[in-house]
Amino acid sequence: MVELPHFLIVSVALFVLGFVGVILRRNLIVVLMSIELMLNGVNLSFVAFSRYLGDIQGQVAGFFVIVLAAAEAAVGLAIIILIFRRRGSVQTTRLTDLKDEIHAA
Amino acid sequence: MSGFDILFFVFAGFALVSAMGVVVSPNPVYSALSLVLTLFSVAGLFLLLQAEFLAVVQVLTYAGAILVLFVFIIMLLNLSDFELMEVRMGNLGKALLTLAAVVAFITLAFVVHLTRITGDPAVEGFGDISTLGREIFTHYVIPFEIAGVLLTVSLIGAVMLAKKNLTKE
Amino acid sequence: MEQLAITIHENYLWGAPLWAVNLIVMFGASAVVLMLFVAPFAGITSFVERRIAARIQDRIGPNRVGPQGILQFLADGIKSLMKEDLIPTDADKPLFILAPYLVFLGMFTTFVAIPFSSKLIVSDLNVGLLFIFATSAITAVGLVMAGWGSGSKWSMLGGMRAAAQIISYEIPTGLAALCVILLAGSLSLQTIIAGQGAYPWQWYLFNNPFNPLAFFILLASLVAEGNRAPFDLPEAESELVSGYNTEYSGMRFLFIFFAEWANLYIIGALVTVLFLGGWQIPVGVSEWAGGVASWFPQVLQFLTFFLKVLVFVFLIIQLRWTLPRVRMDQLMEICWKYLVPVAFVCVMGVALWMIIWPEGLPWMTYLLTAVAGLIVAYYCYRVIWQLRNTKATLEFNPFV
Repeated sequence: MVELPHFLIVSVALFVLGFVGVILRRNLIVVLMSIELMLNGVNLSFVAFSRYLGDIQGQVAGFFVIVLAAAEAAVGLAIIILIFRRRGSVQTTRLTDLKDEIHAA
Repeated sequence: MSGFDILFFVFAGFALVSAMGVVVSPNPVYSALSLVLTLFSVAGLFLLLQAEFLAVVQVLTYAGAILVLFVFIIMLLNLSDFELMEVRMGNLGKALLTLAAVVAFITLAFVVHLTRITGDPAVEGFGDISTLGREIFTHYVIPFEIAGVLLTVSLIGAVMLAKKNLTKE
Repeated sequence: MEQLAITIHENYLWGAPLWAVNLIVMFGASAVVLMLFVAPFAGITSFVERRIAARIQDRIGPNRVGPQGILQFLADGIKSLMKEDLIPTDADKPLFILAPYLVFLGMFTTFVAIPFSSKLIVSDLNVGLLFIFATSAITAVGLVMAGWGSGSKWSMLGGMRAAAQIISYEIPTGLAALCVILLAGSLSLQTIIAGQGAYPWQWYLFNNPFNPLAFFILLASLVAEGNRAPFDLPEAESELVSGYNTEYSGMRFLFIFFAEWANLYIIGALVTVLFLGGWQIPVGVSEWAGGVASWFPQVLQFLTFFLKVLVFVFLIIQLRWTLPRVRMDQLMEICWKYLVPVAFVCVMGVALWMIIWPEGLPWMTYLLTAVAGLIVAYYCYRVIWQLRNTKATLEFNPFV
C-alpha cells in the first residue's frame, strides 16, 4: 500500500540525484537542469505532505516553487549565454579567473 | 495492489530512471529530454496526489516553456563536440561523491521512515482549482504579488543580460 | 466513461479489477476516437485544403483518385507507408525516431478534454482549458527534438523558430482565454459552454466590447502556435526547404503532418468552445429532439459544434492561401508589441466591465452582434463580387 513515505522517498531520491548532478557535472547548462531536478524533488514532498495532512497550503507552496523555477531558469540561461559570449565555453573548469596564480595549473 | 499503487510505481520508476539520465548522459540535449520525462512523471505523481492544477502547471511551464528554453539555448550556442564532451573528474572524486550521495540518501530515507503521518484525510474535491485559488488570493496575496514582481524582474533581467551591443544603441 | 467502465466491471468481467477495466475502456475509447474520427478528419481536411488551394490559385487540384479525388488522402497515406524508412547519417537516431510520436502525442491528448456535445466528452476535467494548453505545449518539445535530431541546418533553424514562436504565442493565447475564464468562472470546458446560449447574442464573443478583440487575439495566436500560414515560419518552404520536417519521410513524415491537420480541428474547437457557445442548441429544439429519441439532442449538438468548427477550419485554410508570410522579426513584433499588450488591456477591460455591469449590457451585446453580422455579410458580398468580376460562377458544390 503506497503511503506518504513512498512519495517522500521518491522526493529525496530526486533531490539527491539533482545534488549529485550539480557537483559532478561540469557543463553549466546541465548544472542548471540538476537544480531544476532538486526543486522538483522538494516540490513533490510539498504536495505529498499537502495531501496526507489534508492541508491545501502545501500545494500553494508548490505553486510558488514552480514560479520560482521559471524565473531562475530564465535568468540562469541568460547568464549562461553571456558567459558563452565572453569566454566561448560553458564548462565550469574554464571559469577560474579568481583562482590564485600559483595554484592554477 | 490497487491501480493507485501500480501507477505510483510506474511514475516513480520513470521519474528516477530519467533523473538518473539527466545526471549521467554526456550530451546536454539528452539531459534536457530526460528532464522532460522526469517532469512528466512528477506531474503524474502530482495527479495521484490530487494536485491536478499543479500537475497541469508543471507540464505547461516546465515542458512547455523551461525545457524548450533549455534546448533552444543549447541549439543557439551551437556547442562544438569538444564543448559537449565533459572534462570529467577523477575516479576517486567520483567514488567519494557517489558514496556521499548514497549516505545522504539513506540518512534522509531514514528520517522519512520516522514520519508518523499515515491514513488518507484528503476528501473528494481536495486540490480543486477553486480551493487552491481561494487560498492563494486570500492568505497568500502578498507572496503572490511578490512572485509577480519577481517574474517581471527576471524577465527584464534576462532580456538585458542576453541583449547584444547594449552600449551601442 | 467511468460509468461505462463500472457497468462492464459489474456485469461482464467479474474477475478483473475495476482499474484494469477502466484502463481497457480508456484505451478502447481513444482508439475508436483516433481511428474513426481524427484520422479521417485529418485526411479529408488535407484533401479539401488542396482543392481550395487549387481553386484560389486557379488550378484544378487532385481529382484522379476516387470520385473527384476524394480518396487522394488514402492514396497518399498508403504511398507514405510504403516508402523507404530513411534516417540521415548525421541524424541523432533516437531523437529523430522519437520526435514525430511526441508531436503526435501532444496533439491527440488534447482530444481528451474537448467536448463534442453535452455528453460526448472523454473527461470533463476541472482544469480542462489548462490541460489543452499544457498538452499542446508537448508539441513544442517534439518539434525542437525533430529539428535538433535531424542533423541538418534547415531542420535546426526550423526547430529553433518553432520553439521561439510557440513559447512566445502561448502568452497572448493564455491572456485571451483569460477573458472568457473571468466570465465563466471556471476552467472546465463544459462549464464554459454552459455559461453561454445557443443564439449569437448569448455567446461570450458579444458579451462586452473587449471580447471580440480577445477572440481575434486568440484565433491569431492559435494559428501561430499551430505553425500555420501566415505564421508558418518554421516550415517556410521558400527559405528553409521544409523546416523541421525536411529530413522526414514515409511514416514519420505522415505522423507530423497528421498532427498538423488535427491541430486545425483543435484550433476551431477551442475558439468555438470559448467564444461561440460550443454545442449549445436552442432549448426548444433540444426538447423537441429529446421527444424523438434520447440520443437525438446529442447528435444535433454534435452537428452544431462540428459545423462551427468547420467554419474556422475553412477560414484558416483560406488565410493560408491568401495572406503572404510575415518575416521572423515581424512575427515576434506582432506577438510582443501588439498582441500581448492588447490582450492585457482586454483582461483588465473584461474585469472592469464585470464590476461595473455584473449583469451585462443588453444593448451593447445586440450592437456587437449586429456589427458582426454586418461584417460577415460584407465578407459574403465581397466573395460574390470577386467571383462575378472574375467571370467565375459561384458554385457551392466543391466537386465541380
